[in-house]
Amino acid sequence: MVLALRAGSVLGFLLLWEWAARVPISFNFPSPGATVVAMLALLRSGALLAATATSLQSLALGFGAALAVGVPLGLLMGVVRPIGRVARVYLDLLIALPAAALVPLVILSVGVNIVSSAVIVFVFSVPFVAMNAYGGVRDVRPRLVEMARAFDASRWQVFVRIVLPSATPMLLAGIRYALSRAFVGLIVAELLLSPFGLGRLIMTARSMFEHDRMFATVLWTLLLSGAALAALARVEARLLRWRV
Amino acid sequence: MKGDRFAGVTAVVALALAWELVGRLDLSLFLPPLSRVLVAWWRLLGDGTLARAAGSSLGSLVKGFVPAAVLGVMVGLAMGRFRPVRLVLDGWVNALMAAPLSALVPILIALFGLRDTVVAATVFTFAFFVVVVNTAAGVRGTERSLVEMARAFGAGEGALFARIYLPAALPAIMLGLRLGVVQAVKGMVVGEMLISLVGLGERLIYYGNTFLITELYAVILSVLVVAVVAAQLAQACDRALVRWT
Amino acid sequence: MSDAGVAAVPIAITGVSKAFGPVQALADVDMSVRAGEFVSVIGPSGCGKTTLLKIVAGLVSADAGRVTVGDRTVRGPGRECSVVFQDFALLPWSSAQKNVEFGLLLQGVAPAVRQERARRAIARVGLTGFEAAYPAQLSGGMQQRVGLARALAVNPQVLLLDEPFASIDEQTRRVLQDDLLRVWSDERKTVVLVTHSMDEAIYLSDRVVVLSPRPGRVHQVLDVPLPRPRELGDVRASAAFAGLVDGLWKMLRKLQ
Repeated sequence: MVLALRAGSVLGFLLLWEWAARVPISFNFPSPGATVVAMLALLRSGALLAATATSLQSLALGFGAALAVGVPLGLLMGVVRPIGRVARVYLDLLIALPAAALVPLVILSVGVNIVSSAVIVFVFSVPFVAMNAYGGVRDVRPRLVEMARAFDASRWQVFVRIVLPSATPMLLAGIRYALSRAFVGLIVAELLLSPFGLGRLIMTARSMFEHDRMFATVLWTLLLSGAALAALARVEARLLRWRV
Repeated sequence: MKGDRFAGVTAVVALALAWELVGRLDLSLFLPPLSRVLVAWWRLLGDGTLARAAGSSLGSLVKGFVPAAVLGVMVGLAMGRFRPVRLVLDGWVNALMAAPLSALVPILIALFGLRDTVVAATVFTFAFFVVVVNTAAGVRGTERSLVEMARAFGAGEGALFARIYLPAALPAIMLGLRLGVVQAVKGMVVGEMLISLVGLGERLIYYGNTFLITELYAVILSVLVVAVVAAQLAQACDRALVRWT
Repeated sequence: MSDAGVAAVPIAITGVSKAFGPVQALADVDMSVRAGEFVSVIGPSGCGKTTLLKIVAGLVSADAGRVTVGDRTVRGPGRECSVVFQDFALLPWSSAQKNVEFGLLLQGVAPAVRQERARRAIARVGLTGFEAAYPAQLSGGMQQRVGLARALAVNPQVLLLDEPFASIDEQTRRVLQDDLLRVWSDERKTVVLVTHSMDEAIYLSDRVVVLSPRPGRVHQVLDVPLPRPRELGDVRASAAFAGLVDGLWKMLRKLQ
């Protein structure tokens, strides 16, 4: 029953897509079959994989920097409360700001290259990493800290043995959410500026009215981010086995 | 709470001062002092540029967000209450909520053409799923004992919905709408920048392409103001509606 | 009380069984409650006593057997029964007044009548002055008073109480027990109380039904011949009370 409904859901979506392509609601709307054919062709020609490799470089650069900066910053904010109170104001602003608005500025100051996409990825993802690390440290149960103190633990021991493990679940959830935002930033950046990567492939196909190739690349992008997020979720589940 | 507000104001003032000072050092063409940005902002306000752009932007925001909110709450309620609906939809909804929906904008352009409808459609796409997910979670989080109590007093499906599920889900629905508004503004900017035809997004692209840095900063600040005001408005609605906690 | 004028009705439970998946919760339970009688159901945890109460309330349907309340066979929730819940089940978004009105609202009672009857029920449980308070602003004892007032406001013939005082501190619980007895002796409703407190069962009831553990069956029925009104005297201190509690304890210990 559950399986039937879930399978029916996928089938229903494909039928709806097929129907939408046949009506046609727009001549720019390829069928699922045509999209898959285009995707296979793009894979075979190597264009899709090359673009993916380029995009993932920007992503790795930007997201890696976001982790390298965000995790220590968030932990520091949680441990030294005055820093937390001030820094969270800036992070809240950064979260509220539609970061896409910064793309023209980044292009102007960094130029159009892999680094500029990486900077956008960084700006999109870093506030979520830092805020969740901060929140995780703040939500540590005071009772546990008291317990460790009662056993004469040093500040460092309290941090490593109590604070860090307590903060880990929220930190990891933040990292996963940040990765999803990183993909959003990557695609925005590439659609707007990049002479390479998946975004460029999408825009080129669109400008040449090759809508099957455009759909194929969009679908590929969504699948790629879905796979990356699912993989991260598995790592997270493994690290958090103690939560049952 | 009061301490937080004080820290907030201090932090913003400090940022403004630092911006002004670093800007005056003339380190880079790309970091003009805040005062020059504000002058440019004032000029753009005066000549109607910002008003025109923001008017178009807000129009798209409303046109996209209102349907996203209404439909999102309806779909979320159905998903929360009826298991088959949930089983059919929740995979899609969860996947799309985390997906880089910005990749869909070119598809929206292909469907609607290069028109401001695309912006409204982008706003809808960005905001819809957050609203659905939170509404459904709110309905599912309804205390079972309340449902049982209402049934004991003879409540039918309609009364259960109106008197138990809806109010129980209201805090979660309002949270979804608040998050939805934030996403909506982001969708608005992305959509406008990509079609590069109307609104604040078009101004960003234009000033970026023409190296008008102070004007570019002025528009970025305007976008930030729109985002913060929209979020604050949603929060005020939340507080007015959910007063029992 | 002008609206206290409903005749109490008897409850008859015959051959009731209920299983949840592989777990047999109740097996062939027979039990009857006379009109206006106060009966407690007690048993080890997992004996299905709450399930039995929910079957009487019409919230859970039995796999086999039959329950009649008055001359109605229970097939779903009915107006002659009101339930008081262990976790109070108050609407957090509604004031005490609105919570008490809730049952009347669902019955389609006109607003003016509703307000008046709710106000009287609130006065009945000693909460006058707290009408505008939200549940979160009330203590546990006061919240359960609201729950009791809500049950009384619809003026039921039968009051079903599911461990109503289990999550309330001991002193408050005693006060609430006395309040319940006072309401009961004024209005003579038929009362079924599910509890795990031997003390409470003996103190409040005319008879105590002891259920055996999984699957729940009626193990024994204990008469409580203590004089009434108990809420005025010092019944708990009497030797008779102690003897009854001890007897019940021995019975329950054998069942574990």
